[in-house]
Amino acid sequence: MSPSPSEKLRDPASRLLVAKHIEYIKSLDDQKDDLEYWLTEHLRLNGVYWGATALSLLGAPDALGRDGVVQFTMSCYNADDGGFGGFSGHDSHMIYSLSAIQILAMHDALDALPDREKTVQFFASLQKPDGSFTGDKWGEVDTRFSYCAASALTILGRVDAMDVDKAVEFVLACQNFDGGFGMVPGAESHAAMVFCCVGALHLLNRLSSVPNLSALGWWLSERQLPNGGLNGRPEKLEDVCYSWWVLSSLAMLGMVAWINRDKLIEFILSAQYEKGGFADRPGHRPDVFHTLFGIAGLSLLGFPGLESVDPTYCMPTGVIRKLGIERAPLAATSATEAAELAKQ
Amino acid sequence: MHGRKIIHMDAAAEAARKIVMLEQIKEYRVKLDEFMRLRAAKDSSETALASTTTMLSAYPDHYTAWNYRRELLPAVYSGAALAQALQSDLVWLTKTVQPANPKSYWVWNHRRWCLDTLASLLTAASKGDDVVAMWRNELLLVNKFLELDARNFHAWGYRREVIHHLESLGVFLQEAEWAFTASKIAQNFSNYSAWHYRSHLLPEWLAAKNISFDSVLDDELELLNNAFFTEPNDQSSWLYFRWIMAKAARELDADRVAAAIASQVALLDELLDMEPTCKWIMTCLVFLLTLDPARSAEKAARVQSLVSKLQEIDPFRRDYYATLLLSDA
Repeated sequence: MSPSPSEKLRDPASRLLVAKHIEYIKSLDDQKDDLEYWLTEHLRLNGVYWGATALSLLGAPDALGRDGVVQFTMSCYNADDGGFGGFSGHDSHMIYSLSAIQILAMHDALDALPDREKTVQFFASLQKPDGSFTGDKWGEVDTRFSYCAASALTILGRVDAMDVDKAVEFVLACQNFDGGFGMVPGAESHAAMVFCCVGALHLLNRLSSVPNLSALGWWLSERQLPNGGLNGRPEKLEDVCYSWWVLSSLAMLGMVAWINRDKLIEFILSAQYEKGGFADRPGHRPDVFHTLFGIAGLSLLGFPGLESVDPTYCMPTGVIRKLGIERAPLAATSATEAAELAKQ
Repeated sequence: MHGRKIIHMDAAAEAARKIVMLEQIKEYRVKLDEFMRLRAAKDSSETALASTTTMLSAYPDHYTAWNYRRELLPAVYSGAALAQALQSDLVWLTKTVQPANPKSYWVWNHRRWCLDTLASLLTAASKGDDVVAMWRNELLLVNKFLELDARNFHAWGYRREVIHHLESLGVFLQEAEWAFTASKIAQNFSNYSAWHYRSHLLPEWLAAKNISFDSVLDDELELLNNAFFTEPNDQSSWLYFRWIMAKAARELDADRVAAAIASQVALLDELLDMEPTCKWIMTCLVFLLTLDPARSAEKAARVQSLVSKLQEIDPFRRDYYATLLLSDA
């Protein structure tokens, strides 16, 4: 879907198929004739977060119907532990519990939580003595869960429920030789984990003291491939979802200028499916995950006609501001390689 | 959700596909309903266990089914029978579930749990040697995953965990791991995961062999120089190089460092003549010139010239390159 010269001259905003994307997202719950719909039940709550956020950024925040969304979200609630599963009847897990909090916050429905403190404790109780967080009682440790806990507890106004110093210590232990971050100490740098670690540190107000930020920013900027798309780590293929993980990380670091904005916009737009939705790359089938991250990426790049997205939370800026929990990006060029090397 | 091409079908093919799919959904829903019924009733029988097998065979990402299975295994079996059931699960994962789902977090989690539980059982039965054998076997298995996909980070992560388990049992493999990274690097200089692992192993390996970083620096630089000259466009060796030089600058004697920087700069100048548009060489030259604390007008000019060239050949990152300019004082 490479634009013709006349297409490019047209109002750029018209190349984003807003109405088609809105229809696509609305149609997603109507997929019961698709086996894949059934075999992704465990992450349905994530899907609702992805869809609701994308609709909000497209200017149609109520397209799924507020009551229905809140009701569905609460159907995933598990009263025994205060957490949420991916669907009704599924066990509580960090990943889905964060989506629940995000959805409720976006719909101004945090008071739907029957026992707010119990939900706070669900997140806080999953912290281990070394500062890491597990996904659930089964013990998988991953910096994704550090991010989930930091975000959820910040939205709930209860960051005090976690040991912040230890949480930061663990995340910093996940920084690698290339300045990037992995899922656990010793794990290879990956853009999704960079987002989770930079995001967690930023949420906890510790980002500016992280070493090698210039090296990290460079590693992130090197994710941009000649076709304008971003990959998740070296020698991998471009994928629209990295338009979020990489871009939001650069935004938090104040280094968005280190990639080429126009080429990335071209790439993201080219991954639209003509009938609605975004895929991981041009010519592939769309899904709601890539739809959100494509739209959020465009919003971060200032593409016209979209609501503003907060890079730390991946939620509408308006919602975050109203909650009073915004985090300002680091001052641009506050980190230079020379300064960092001199510090060592 | 990744990498699925759009397939265009005519109306007849689409209709036929739909009929097949509706039948598949009907069959699946029978399994699902049975599973949910048993789970809601907190059933802890073999029937429930079998139901999780059925669910997971159809739907390996159904994490609640894995959770339920982990509750059921020790409820249905104990002692030697439990050990056997765990072994069975491990074979099922190795032969069937993992090959089809090599990157599923849930599946790797279950493998971990089976091994941890089995290790506890064997330890309780005073079969410590069996535990060591079990972990050594895991190392062989995870290597097979890495042969298939050297960048599978789940496999690398799991490998590190297995090494740590063996360490806690008194089996120290730093030397073997060090050699392993070298062999992966030799197979394919573009093996980022191997260079990354090597960066973590280095301090452990030095401690295990009780040798100094100083004594291995030259060997590491030789390995790196070979990598650059063979594959100058592979970024991973350049990143490791930068890291090693920064480590040297932090930890070693100033004269030693200055000499190393000077000889590497000379080498990179040589390489740049052969590969005049390779940005990795240019950025590393800037890096080395910056790392050496001396500042001069000449150096600033050299860096400026490199930065200009970089901005020309790699315009996407021109704003980053601009931050590399040095003052001349």
